Amino acid sequence: MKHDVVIIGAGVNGLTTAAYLARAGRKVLVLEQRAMIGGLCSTEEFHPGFHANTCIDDTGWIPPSVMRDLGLSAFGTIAPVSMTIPGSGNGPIVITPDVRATSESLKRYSSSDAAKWPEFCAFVARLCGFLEALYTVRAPAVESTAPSDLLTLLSLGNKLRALGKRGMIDVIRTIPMSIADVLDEWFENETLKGALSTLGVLNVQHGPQSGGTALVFLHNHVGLPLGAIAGRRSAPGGVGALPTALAAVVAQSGGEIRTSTEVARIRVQNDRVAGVTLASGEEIGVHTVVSGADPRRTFTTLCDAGDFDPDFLHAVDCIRMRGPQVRVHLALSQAPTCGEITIAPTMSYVERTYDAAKHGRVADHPWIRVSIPPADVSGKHVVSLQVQAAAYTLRDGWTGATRAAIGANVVQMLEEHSPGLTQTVLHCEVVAPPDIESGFGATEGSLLHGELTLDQFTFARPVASASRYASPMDGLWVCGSGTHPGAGTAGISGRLAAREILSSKVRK
Amino acid sequence: MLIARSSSVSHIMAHRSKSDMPNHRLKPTPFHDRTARLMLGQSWRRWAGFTVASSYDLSHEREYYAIRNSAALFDVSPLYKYHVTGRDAARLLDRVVTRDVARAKVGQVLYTTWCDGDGKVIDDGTVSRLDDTTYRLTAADPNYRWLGDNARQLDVHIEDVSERIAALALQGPTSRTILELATESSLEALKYFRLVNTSIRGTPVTITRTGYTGDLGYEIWMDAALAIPVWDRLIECGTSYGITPAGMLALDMARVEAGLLLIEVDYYSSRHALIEQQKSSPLELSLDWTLSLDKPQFNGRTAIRAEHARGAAWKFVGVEVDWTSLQSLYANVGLAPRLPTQAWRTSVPLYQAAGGRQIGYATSGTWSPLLKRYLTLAHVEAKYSAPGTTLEIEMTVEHRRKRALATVNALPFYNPARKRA
Amino acid sequence: MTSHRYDAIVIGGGHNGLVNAAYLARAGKKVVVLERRHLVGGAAVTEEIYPGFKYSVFSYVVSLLRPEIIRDLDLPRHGLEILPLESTVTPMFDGNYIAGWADHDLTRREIYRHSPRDADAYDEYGHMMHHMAMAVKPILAMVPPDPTSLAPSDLKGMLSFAGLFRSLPTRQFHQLYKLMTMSAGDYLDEWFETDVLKATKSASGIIGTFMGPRTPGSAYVLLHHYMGEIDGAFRAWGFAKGGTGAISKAIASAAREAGAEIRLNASVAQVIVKNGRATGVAMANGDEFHAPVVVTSLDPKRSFLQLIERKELPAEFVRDIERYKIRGSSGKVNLSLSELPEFTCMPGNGPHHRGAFSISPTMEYVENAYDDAKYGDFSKKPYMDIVIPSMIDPGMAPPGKHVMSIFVQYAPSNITGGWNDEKREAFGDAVIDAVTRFAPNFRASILHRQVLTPADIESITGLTDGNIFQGELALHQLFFLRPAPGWARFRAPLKGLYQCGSATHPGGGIMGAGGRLAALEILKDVPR
Repeated sequence: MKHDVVIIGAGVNGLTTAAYLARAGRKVLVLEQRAMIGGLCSTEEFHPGFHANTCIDDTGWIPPSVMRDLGLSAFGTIAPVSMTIPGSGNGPIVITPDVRATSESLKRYSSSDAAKWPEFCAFVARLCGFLEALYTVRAPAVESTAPSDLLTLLSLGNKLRALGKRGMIDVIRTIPMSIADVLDEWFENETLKGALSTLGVLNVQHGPQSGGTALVFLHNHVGLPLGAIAGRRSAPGGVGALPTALAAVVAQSGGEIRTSTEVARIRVQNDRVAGVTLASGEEIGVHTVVSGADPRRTFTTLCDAGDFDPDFLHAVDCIRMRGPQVRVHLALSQAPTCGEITIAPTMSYVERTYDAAKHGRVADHPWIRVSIPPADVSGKHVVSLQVQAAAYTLRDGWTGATRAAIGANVVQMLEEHSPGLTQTVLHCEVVAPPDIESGFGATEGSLLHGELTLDQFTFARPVASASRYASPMDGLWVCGSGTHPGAGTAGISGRLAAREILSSKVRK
Repeated sequence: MLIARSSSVSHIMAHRSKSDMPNHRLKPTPFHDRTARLMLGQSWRRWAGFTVASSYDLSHEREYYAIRNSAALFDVSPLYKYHVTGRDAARLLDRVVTRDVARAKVGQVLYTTWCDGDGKVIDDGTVSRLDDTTYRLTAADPNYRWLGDNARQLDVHIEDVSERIAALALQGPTSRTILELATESSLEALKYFRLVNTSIRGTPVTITRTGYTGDLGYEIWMDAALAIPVWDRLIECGTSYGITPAGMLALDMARVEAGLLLIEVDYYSSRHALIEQQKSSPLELSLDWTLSLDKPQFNGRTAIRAEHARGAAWKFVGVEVDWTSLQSLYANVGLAPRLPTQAWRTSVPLYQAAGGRQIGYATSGTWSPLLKRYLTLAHVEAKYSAPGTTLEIEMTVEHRRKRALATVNALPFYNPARKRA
Repeated sequence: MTSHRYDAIVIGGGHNGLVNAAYLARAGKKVVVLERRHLVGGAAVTEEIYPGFKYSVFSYVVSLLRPEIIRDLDLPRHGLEILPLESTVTPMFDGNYIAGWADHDLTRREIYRHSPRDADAYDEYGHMMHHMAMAVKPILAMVPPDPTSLAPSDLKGMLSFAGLFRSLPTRQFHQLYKLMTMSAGDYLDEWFETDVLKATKSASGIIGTFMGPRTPGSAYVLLHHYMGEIDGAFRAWGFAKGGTGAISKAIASAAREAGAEIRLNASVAQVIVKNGRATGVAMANGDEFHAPVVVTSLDPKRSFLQLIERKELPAEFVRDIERYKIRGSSGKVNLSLSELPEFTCMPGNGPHHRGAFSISPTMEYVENAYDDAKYGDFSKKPYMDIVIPSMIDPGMAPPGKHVMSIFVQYAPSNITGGWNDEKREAFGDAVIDAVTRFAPNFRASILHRQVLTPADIESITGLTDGNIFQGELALHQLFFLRPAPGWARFRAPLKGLYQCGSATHPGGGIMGAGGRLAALEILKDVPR
């Protein structure tokens, strides 16, 4: 056989797996269905001359090990301003990694909140420190009694104990809570709480009052420095630069990447993977296939159902995908005046956007996070918006009119903060969950490849019987965001998957 | 994939009225009007939500002997039945069951088990190939959802016909003669585990040469709404040949003689087992002959092949209680041996000979009035499964637990030539 | 001012306080129970609000009353008799219904009518839930270990806690994990396709909580339904003969027989603290009771933030109690009826009247009810759990007449602008309207109505915010976190002070486990 390993999808984790495997001497072939690499982590032209990060603005946490191994030191820079919240009368609240400066900015609204801010930052950092430790090892098999699993559990237990009595209680108590309850325990200012609560519901179909959204909030802060609450990691030249850099590592190590190459089927023979069949009809024989696609797509679309236990496939069906995120990119004739604001005035406001999604409607008042890509990314004046406004499944279905209405609505909402903006809009591109699904193969438009909630976390991600990158089919592995530790971290699952593959008895 | 919703929904809705809502009774079978008239002792029992006879007479003895001497007529309508149709019908069944369905010819019936992904038995039943793309699966437990779960990516239609199709079993030496008279055709050509489509008094029926008695016998499948004339015609033609409506008590004795296992008695469905130890593989049930291990795929294939390679830890066998040993246990307390008058369904420990450790357990047992032998069906550790192995079985004699000698037997205990002839 | 001396004082004569007193008295302690109201029971009382009509005013069904308590205190001899509630019927908007009966075959047939697939799923679901419930049930009788402690007893406790989970087969372990973390709606989606079935089952997951069926954390309560002691029933709920007050009366009788003294109309104003030790209580009328052991069965907000001066307690503990979530979310409507309700979906009288009616016609209906409450209003179309106690115990109403108990959700304690008479009546009207929608003769059959909002529940029983569980049963407030980390073992940060109410492990409902476990802990500390 020409290749040892075929990797499906040239997204960040697919490429990371490819890079590690290629460097270990495996003959790797990466197959990407789109014309360009990057997957959800892409920067593209959406209007002639105008570029934007199509789906996500944040590269996610790249752990030091991956940075070091793959030479990615140019990435992971923390944006200087984490979040700008338009205030009510007293000027905006600006959150930056500078804890004292943020505290000052809060003082105008609440001296109590300002006083608690440093403590809150430390609290988040403490809890995220534990998650960091959890994220850099493969998912612990909690029900296993194998010595290695017990050791992992024990070492995580020790990490937990190292936080001290109170820290330990904080972790256990906080993770299942709702972000609304957590923020209510700390702060009184509704504006601050509203904006912060969006980090608890980002990309999941939940409201701040849903239990477990505290975990989502913490997850979104893993790897961020102290004080960078709501912070994002940008990449020079846009998030698409990260996969480009990874692809270079793959190529240097002798790996091959083919774009515009869609895999139609993973073939099985004698109870193990025998190769892949491309949409073009071409057959590639290989004994190891690693899928960077989401688990639903991998197991229920790319495989023959008869190759799996129906109970396993049922578990895969039950993975909640539910992409609630709409991306709106505006091509503008001049720079907007609003800055990178977050529009989420209260937690109730954010909760109501969830109600709309829950009932299959588009929210009249979505919460919005604005990004203004720098000129080296956008080429011209661009505003990109994270609009958590809807659900993958709408009662009345997604139509062109639905998209246009969302676009018009957010432009109108922005107009309030950036007067005159409406006149400068040259083009409004709305990327709805079904578009993310059709364009990127992400089921239900889930940017996370499955909601990252407590029930779909660590040993239960993507499903309990395949949480350690191996699937029930010999030779088929998963490495994407749908696996532990999941979206929002870059390259970890790719690295851990590669490690599992290399330590298994792979038939060449 | 298409899944039929039962048409009975609208039926029930339409017939809702003040008087019968809520309906708190068990369902009558399509033959209830006839069977109720025969019932002498109100000896009914529950089977899958239906009312069926335990025995019609005050004693089930005559009904038992009819199975072996003339013909017994059983109402087996409560069986779960599914029609699987469509281009991929065989593919679906081949994913589910352990036998090779694709190779079955039209008119063939297969006895088979089906398993979960770990190779543990979910249920057992028959697959009949009715035509090129239509199959009927019979099952002891509901399997509609399981079939649906297996039908992913397939062009197939699954219909639960359990209530739409009525079923009778006519079992015993004279069953062929009676059926030939009833159908006015020869059944000489109908081989063991084959089926034929014909009609009885105008009702189209499918006759399969199958049964649960281990004797010459047939099962008759028909539209529930047209079922009564079939019953009447069989009785009419069978009277001179000793046809005897029979209940579950008689059937239970016959099936032990025939070595046929019963779900929830001799094994637990893996869907209902609470712990791993309660599950059984087909190999542990000694159903090796139902496994087409070379089929490209079916649920549990990988696990069963591995188990096959290393050998099953348990086997399902016949165990006969030694008469002399039993007699002496009773003699010791001054009694003649007391024998069960019905088949029993409790778990009874089996031991190594000479007071050794427990090596298995019997799950069903009966005194065979025909063979004059005390028979049980049992799970034993594989190394004690060879026919002729001597074991001990726990017997409660006058309130005290004793051990009687017992011998492993090949199954079935009773296997008349006419069954297949 | 009079002064009395005892071995132990129990504040509050609810079922947990009474159980606690009974166990202490049986161990030879001189115990007094101080109850503010004129009758024992707390939220488990039967009152004849209108002549001849007896209401289980607040709590109305019983599922998890610990069997060891029934045995130890010999409660049947003191009059306890629990009768099964056999069925649940959910009327639907289209005139159809779904019912769960005591008999498995009947229930299966009923579900089959809606979905053959769900009928199969129901079999498997029932098997699995039953087994998991049995496996984790010992937790109810466990004193929670402290996971932060390295003391051998705590480590052993954590191990046996972990052992309960690890003893489960892998598949069930993972199912249990899902139940602990998911929403009832999402969990049921994995099993069933029939909306009304999911609505009815998930509604049981939100009782007493401030969660909707789609709120993660609500799935866990599904398991509770399979933990009940009334074997084999579709919903393991029972109804005490004589109303829930009869349970309290039986426990009180057992306590008195063991030597406990129960004082009614005895309102505690303060816990007396001397040198960092609880030494007794001061009454509203100025009397004092002294004892080396003071046990509170009240909710922690009332116990620690109202009856004790803050300076006596560690600041961190006070903060933990302050942030303890105790939002009330339910109301209660008790009615006297001239005739039985005739439901459009099930005309006439029948066995269904002996069971419960669930007003949960669709998932969306229940979710909408929750949405109203999230933004500070009572549900305009509420979820309701309705029983007719007089059908099970004819003694509850005059011959030919009936009493009906309607548990209503949601009625948020923090309703915008606060509760007042006008809102109470509007809430009552919404309840009557919503039932009449399914039973047209209902409105005209009402002879008397008693509407209880969370504010009313609080003012009558003293339960903070009218929360029937003395604090939400959410994952972050269970087991070793209930009511506060480090103080889940029935003690309090004051020597001599103990807690035994529903705010302790294992939580709400008429279980009595807190009362019993607290007594056993006290007896470990106090020499016999």
